[in-house]
This record gives sequence, structure tokens and C-alpha cells, in this order.
Amino acid sequence: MNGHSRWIWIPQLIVVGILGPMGWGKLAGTVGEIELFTMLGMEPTGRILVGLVELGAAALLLTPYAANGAVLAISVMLGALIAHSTHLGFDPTAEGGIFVILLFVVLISAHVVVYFRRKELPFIGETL
Amino acid sequence: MGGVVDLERLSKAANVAIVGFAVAAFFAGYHVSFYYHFLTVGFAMLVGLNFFYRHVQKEHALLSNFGFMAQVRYVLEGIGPELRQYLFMSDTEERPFNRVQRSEVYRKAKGVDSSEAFGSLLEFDGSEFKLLHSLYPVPKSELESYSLTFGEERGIAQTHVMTKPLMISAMSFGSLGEHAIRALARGAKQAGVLMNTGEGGYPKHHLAEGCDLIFQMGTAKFGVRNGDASLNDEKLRAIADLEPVRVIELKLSQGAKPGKGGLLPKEKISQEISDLRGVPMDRDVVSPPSHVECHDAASTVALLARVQEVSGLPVGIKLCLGRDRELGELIAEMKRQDVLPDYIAIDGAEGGTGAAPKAFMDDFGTPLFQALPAVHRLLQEHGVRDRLKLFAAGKLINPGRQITAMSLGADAVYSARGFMLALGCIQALHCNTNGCPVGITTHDRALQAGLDIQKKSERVVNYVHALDHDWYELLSALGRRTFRDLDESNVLMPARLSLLDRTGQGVAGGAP
Repeated sequence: MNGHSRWIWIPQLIVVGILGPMGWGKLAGTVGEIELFTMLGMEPTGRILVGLVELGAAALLLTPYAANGAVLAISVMLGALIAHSTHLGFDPTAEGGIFVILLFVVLISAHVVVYFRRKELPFIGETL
Repeated sequence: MGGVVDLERLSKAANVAIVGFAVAAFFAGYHVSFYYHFLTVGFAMLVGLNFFYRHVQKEHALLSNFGFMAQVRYVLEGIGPELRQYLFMSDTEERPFNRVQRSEVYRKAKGVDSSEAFGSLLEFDGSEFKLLHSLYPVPKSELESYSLTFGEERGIAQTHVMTKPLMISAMSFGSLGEHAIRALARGAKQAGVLMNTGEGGYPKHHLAEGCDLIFQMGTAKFGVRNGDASLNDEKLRAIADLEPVRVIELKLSQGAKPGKGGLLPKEKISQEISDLRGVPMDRDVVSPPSHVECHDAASTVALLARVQEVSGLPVGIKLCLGRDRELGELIAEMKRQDVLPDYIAIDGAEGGTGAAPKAFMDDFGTPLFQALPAVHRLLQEHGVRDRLKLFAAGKLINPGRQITAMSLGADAVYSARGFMLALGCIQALHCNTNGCPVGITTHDRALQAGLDIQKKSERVVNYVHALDHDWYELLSALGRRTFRDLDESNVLMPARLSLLDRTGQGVAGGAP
């Protein structure tokens, strides 16, 4: 898209770099992911669903529709935030703890992308 | 806001409701199933967006006062043009071309029968130009074929003969994408019509199909300029030496934006265009309002003489009529220096453009059917009408208007948008955004993919052939053996249009 400096690709690639492997891990069914989603009572349907959304967001972030991908990324991270607040806890040393740190990295990066590409969003872009 | 539904109260209730839904979904997600958190996230994001609308942004009063429900208005407004075009506008309402006018071109281009049933959809209240037929139509076998020779009046070596009274008007590579240019050029070659390159620098894509070309020199002189937009003789000579380039056109002004130079929005400037024109990619390209060499009649004629001498080709000028006194002075100066253009193309104020400032598009210039008789008469008064050709441009997409223009003094006509419609233009009015949905006025590879060069070039050929058929039908009905015999007595002027005011003379056709 026109009108952006290239640096906007830095947060985009950060999100892709984290969400891509995470989504793939969920689809592949790693031990850790299965354990987390069992705790949430969403194994296996929820794990596959969230994995697909994560991969979709990562894919969009590499196209001219990056703004949409960033919104999807934010929505997944909000879900993760709820999961950690209500079921999983925030202890970075516990099982799945590294996810907590990555969660905030993705959340902030995706917000940066959405903010600078907000005009490109469908329907609401014009009024943002 | 009133009506059956109180939109004001509805929107305020919605602002509260989404918070309630978010909370409810959260509790359901916590106590029933985590899957409810998909809803929690959705509503939470909507609440966030709504907070931004109501308490952060200051640009949109409606969103600030009523929140996300007001967004419906912006969405509907955004798709309004499409809704109107598809659902609500009648067949004669749309602008610049209504459905009746467009579908005639579509049918001609597709080679479909263009007869209509029951009766005309147009007005018959004296507000339109009508052609006046003869009681004694000329048998078609007695009609003379059209022929026009560029440059014959000056007796130059390199003349060009045209056998149809129609040319593809100026559209540059820049305003149009590569596929559209190639399709037009291929069609032009096959149909045997001249194609104008527009003001787009070296006409690389126009040349690709080998059709005969009019090279247009705009005020920025892309392709033939020095750094200061003055004429570079060497470059002009090189262009004129190209075999397909038959005629040179010096553009003084354009109907869609008289008094303004060409405009190419930055969204449409690809690397290739930037290279061909020698312009930067990060800003709109605005051509100067006039040629740097031209500041009065004498210097304008001097530039014309120089282009004629350097190129050795027929050289015409194109302009939109502003003050007719100035044009009178220009013609007098041409006579004084004994330098006449090989043609003058009159561009009506209703002419098209890829991009123009709104005030110039709407409020400037003389409409074609007022300008044309005035210029025709001006040339007669100066005794030079038979020393040059007169062309007309401006919404001449249908045979009726084209023959009307030829009756009002034109020797041939230009059309650009007629050919765009033949290519499949749906009048989406996105020519300035690089987002043309049918791939004509865009450089987007994906959008151009839908424009098949061979298929669309056939439409161009069909369009020309169907017009050619109609012109002779009309000529016969008007009781004229040749196009040269057409005159103002073939045209019924609208009652409202007072040509008397402009020229101080009556019109043979007369007002009813």
C-alpha cells in the first residue's frame, strides 16, 4: 500500500514471527498446547480453531490486507488474555508461561500496525 | 431523527447494550464454556471501537454523538453510488453518460442489434438537439465515402489520409493502463482509425501494436522537453521520425480543465510511468497551465511554426474555447505570419478526463455545441476555414451527436470515453484512484488481468464498424451525399440554447 514507511513491516514481521509458529504448533498438536486447551475445556476443536485464526492473521499480515490481519491478531490475543486471567495464570515460569510474554509483544505490535494502517480497514477505515 | 424507529434512542441503547453483551458473554465463558469468549472478544473490540468513536476522535460529530450505530450511515453513503446506479437511477438520469447512451455503445461494441422498442426515452420538449431529415433521402448507393487528408492545405510531403471521421481521443499511458492502451491500439489498427497518444511521454505502449498515431504535446511536453518544459527539437524530431506517428498535436487547453495543465494523481504513478515521463513517484504530476513558450498570440504561432518545421508532419492544435476574441486574435496572427495549423480540435467543456480539479471540470469552458459553430464562423470570417480542418471532441460517443458535431462545422470527431465504454467501462468513476474495477484506468496488475487485450480490441473494432454503418444511414436520411455537405440546417437547436447571444448571428436550423 502507498503512504507507509517501510518500518511498519517491523511490527508486522514480529507478529508473523510469533503467531505463525504458535498457530502451527496448535494445529500440529504439541504436548503443551494440548495441555493448555484441555485446561480450557476446548480440546481439540478450540485448539484447531484458534490455530487457524492465528495462521490466517499471520498470512494476512504479509499481504496488502495487513490491517485486517492485525485486527485478527488482537482478537486472538484478547482471547488469550482472558484465558490467562481466568484459567491459566500469569506466572512466566509455570507451564506455558513464555506465552504470556509473547502475548503482550504481539498485542502491542498488532496495535501499532492497526493504528498506522487504520485507514485501510474495510467499512470503518474512512472514519478512523 | 424521527420516523418509525427512533434512531437516536436506538443508537444510545446500543451503546449500553454492547457493554452488557460483553459482560454476559464473559460470565458465560467463565461458567459455561470457554467458547463463549469468542463473543466476549468480539463485543470487547466493539466496545473499544465505540469508546474511540465517542470519546477520542473529534472529526465526525455523528460518531461522537451516537457511537458505532452512526457508522451505518457512512457505510450506506460509501455504497450509495453503486446502489443508485444499480437500483434507483432511471435510464436517462445518470451522468456523465446515462444508461441509454452507454448501452448503445455496449451493444455496438458487442455486435448486438441496437434497435429499441415502443418509443424513445428522451425528452421532446425542445431541450435537446435533434437532427433534421430530408424529405428526399439519398439512396445509399449514391453516398460518397469519407476521406480526409491531413496536411493537404500546406502541401507538405508527409500527409495522412483518414477514411473514417473518427479518432481515438487523447488518453495517455498513465491515465490508462497498459492493457487498455494495447487493446485500443490493436483495435485502432484493425479498424483503421488514428489514435491520439495523450500527454504521456514516449508512447511506448501506443507504439506496440503499430497503429497510426497522433502524438500529443501537452503543456509539460513529456517526451520532447528540456528540463524547464521547453521544446527539445531533437527529441521531437526523433518522435516524428517514428513510422506510426503521422500527426503532431499541440494541446493548448482541455475541455475538462481549461486553464489548467494535465493532472496525474500519485496513486497512478508506477515506476514505468515515472521513467517514461521523467517525474517523481511520490507526488501528483501537474502540468503547467500553458506552454512556457506561449504568452501571447505571436509566440503561440511561433511555437506552432517551429513544431511544423521540426517535425515535417501535419500539426494541429487542440483547445477548449474560452474567450472567442482571443481565438480571433490568434487566427489573425496566424494569417499575419502565414502559419496555419493543419487542424484545430475544439474540445467541449463537457470533455472527459482522468483527473481534474472540481471547479475546472464543472464551471469552466464553452460547451461543444456552442463552441463549434462559433469557431466555424470565426474561421469563415477570417477567410481561413478552407485552409485547415476543424475537429470536435466532448461526449461524442453516439452517432447522433457525432453527426450533429459534423453538421455544426466539424470535419471529423474525437472520442475517448466512447472507446473506454467499448472496452467495458462501467462508469464507476474511479479513474483517479488507480482502482478502476474493469482494469482500464489502473496500473494494478490484478485489476488489469480482467481486461483481455485481444477480446477487447475486437470490441473496439465492432464499435467503429457499427458507428461507420450508422453514419452513412444518417447521412442518407439527412439528404446529404457527402459528410462535407452537412451544415447547420441539419440541426434543430434546443429552444433554450441561445447561439444568438454568443455570435450575434442566427442559426439556419432556427429555434422552434
